[in-house]
Amino acid sequence: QTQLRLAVETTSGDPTHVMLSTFRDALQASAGDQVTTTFNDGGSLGDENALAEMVRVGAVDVIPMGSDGVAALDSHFSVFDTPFLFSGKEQARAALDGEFGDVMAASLRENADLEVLAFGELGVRVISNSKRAIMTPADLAGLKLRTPSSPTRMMAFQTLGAAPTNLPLGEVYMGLRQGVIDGQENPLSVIKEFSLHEAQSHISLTNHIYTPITLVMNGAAYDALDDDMKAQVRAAAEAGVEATRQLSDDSDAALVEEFRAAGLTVTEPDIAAFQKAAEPIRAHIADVVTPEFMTRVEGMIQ
Amino acid sequence: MTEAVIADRPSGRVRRHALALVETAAVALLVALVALVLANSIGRYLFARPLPWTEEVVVALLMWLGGLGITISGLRNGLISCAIWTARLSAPIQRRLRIVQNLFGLATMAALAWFAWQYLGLFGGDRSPLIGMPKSVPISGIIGCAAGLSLAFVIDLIAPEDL
Amino acid sequence: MLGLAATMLGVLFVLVLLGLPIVISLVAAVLMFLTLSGGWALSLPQQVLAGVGDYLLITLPLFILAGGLMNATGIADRLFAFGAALVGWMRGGLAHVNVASSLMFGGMIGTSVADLAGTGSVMIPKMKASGYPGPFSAALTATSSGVGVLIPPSSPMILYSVVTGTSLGALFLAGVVPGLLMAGVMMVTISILARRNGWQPMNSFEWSRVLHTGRHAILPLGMPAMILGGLIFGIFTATEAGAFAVAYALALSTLVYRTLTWAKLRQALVDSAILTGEVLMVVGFSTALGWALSQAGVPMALSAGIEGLFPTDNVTIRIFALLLLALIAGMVLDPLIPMIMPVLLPMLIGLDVDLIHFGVLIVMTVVIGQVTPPVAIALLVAAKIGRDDVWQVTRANMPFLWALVVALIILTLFPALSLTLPGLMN
Ligand code: NA
Ligand code: NA
Repeated sequence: QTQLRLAVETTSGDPTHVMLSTFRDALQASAGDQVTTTFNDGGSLGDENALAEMVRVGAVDVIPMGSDGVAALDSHFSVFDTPFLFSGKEQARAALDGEFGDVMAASLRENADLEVLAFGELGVRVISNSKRAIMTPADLAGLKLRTPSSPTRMMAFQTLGAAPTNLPLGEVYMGLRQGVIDGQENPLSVIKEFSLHEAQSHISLTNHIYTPITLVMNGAAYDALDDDMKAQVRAAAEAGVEATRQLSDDSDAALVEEFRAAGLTVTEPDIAAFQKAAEPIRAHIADVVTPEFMTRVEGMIQ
Repeated sequence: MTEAVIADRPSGRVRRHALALVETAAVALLVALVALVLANSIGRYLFARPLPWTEEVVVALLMWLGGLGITISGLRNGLISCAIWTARLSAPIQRRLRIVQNLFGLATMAALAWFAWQYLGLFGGDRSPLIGMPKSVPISGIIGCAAGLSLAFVIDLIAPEDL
Repeated sequence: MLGLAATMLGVLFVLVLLGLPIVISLVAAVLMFLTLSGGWALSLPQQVLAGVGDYLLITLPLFILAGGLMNATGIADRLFAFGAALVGWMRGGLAHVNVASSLMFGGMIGTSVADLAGTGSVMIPKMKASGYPGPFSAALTATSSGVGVLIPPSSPMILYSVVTGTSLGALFLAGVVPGLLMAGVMMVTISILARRNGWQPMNSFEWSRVLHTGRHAILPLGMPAMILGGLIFGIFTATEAGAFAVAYALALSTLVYRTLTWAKLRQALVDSAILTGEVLMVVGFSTALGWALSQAGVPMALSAGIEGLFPTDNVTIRIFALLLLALIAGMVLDPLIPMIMPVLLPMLIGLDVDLIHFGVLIVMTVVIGQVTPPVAIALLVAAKIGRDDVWQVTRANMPFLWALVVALIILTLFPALSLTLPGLMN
């Protein structure tokens, strides 16, 4: 009998939680008595960074990773920080289901000994601010924009003309209220979760970055499964992928409606202009992930 | 607070030297941290250019500030504790209890240091995103805390002193 | 596992009563749990790092240092003389000033421990010097610092908003009246204690005294004015406010009053390092303790126990039962909200409780948890600043603890106190 310890930082309703709970339910349904799972959510075992350490040493078996933490384990994952790497959700999904997904998974296995079970969807990032509707890169000029403290993400917005600032996510709301920052960039679901729309007047659907949920399993624990169980685990992970993609589509549509109803302007910017302005960023990110890898990735996505 | 927290200088030589050393290190670290936070805010406010790397340095060094600060407290016999029951014991028993307390403290800190050491071996090489500060910096702060308090307990075993 | 958790808490209590330092007792209790439960032992260093690795904690040494510099250079004396001229005619006047300063200072920053360390390092020595009992001064300062997390901004409210999906803006507004109520309840308690203990007024009220001391306090008053203004107008964040407070105190004492010597500066720095060190390590180790309790399933077990004790459908009684649960959990779990809310949330939704209202109530239980043993970070810090025995401070705090419980009951029975302001927002 297989025993799997699953853990996630978030609580019910969050995309990473949906990914892991769907995985658990699907696996229980298909494998029945062959597998027992323990499920720790709500940070009872620790935050995502703590869980990432535990899965590396095998103190837990499976966790979903939705933050920059993956790039800290394997610099190839910084490729996801390339703005407009994908033309949209559809292209990103197709790429992750195909060769690109396989290459990324193999890379994480090699660099961090973590087996990627599947890539779910956290969402696409948009820009919100309190100054003006952002239609072209020129509208970003001088905007004090909060980004996560990821060097590639900060560099990207510096290149686009904004003044990127770091704040921990928990401080962003007060930062926006007090004017320490003018805007920030996150998936719509995160904007809702942290009430950031209450301190903003414009949202621009730039969809500049696609963030996957990387569902990983400890490498040795994965290798210890027999072939039949490996197949069942992968199938269950696919169920998680479907659930998060569905959730992402539903919640994006609902949130755009909700934010508009709350009085925010939600605009579709000139993506072509942004893609052009983002060209120089590609070279910087190629330096991080190696130019060969960048070229290879772009070949697989086209 | 100046009069309130600080008692007289200790008379034991070892204790005095240890205190001078740890205090100097703690003061230097604290001054550096204040300077980093100030530089970050001045950069952001005056030049619209925050220095995000300063935050990584500050967070990594907080554990060291904790370790050094609590070591000073230990060397001054000032660790937060509750004397409600022990104060009622007779002087000879209090002396013996103090030896047991110091030995127990030593054992506990040795175990803490051991686990922190293992943790260091596994994750000490992980690096922070911006400046690549290795995680061994904050982790070793825990070991520093354990070592500092152990030193305080040893000194109090060899040359007990009431401050 | 539950038995193990109970044993761990028992061991913690016994070690503390045997006179062992709090930090040693915490580490030993967690180590015992990890060894016996067979969990991943490296969770201890991991959780300690998680607890101490929060950038906001840097406000702690900054505000302590600013307070220490104000004490060492006579800046605090000027502020204190002005405060005494304004309210010294009241019985327990200085104690009222203490509450008012928490209302103001804590209203600007989001964590109560930073407020406590900053105002406490100024207020506690001054109160003792004016004849107030030490444990009372420490207890009052510890409890009143909790006002700051009800008045926005508030770190616990941010956590609650994220976990429950409620509006942070509404939550912040909902805390204003309860924060004022808590300050009021504390002031009433002070008045009763002042009358019962026969505390005499310090001086009579004279306009000339107010003007004279006020003139001397103009520049020192610039400190709170600068912090308040800087935060309101978005000039700086809470962390930066701490750094500027230090810079201001340094500038005032070297350029204007010329009262700062190298010896005083070094002493203030050492004091700040000592207090910061103790608080950081207690925060780190109690994070590990909270993690161990959560591992043992204590929040789940408590909620099951409460379900069994109060098998009723009456919503108000159920809310009181849940609050009782949160109070018990708050005594030992630190941080409380991320650990208990995932357990409580399904029940709250089932009961159709207003989540904004409950958010205010749970933040109030966080405040209470910070002054109830065994993990009472606010009492520990205040006792350390005042050099008083932890147990005596805990006993001196009993009247304020009851005052908080009364305030919690009032807030539970009258949701309008919390919900009227956010209602106006819509
Ligand atoms: Na506040
Ligand atoms: Na407590």
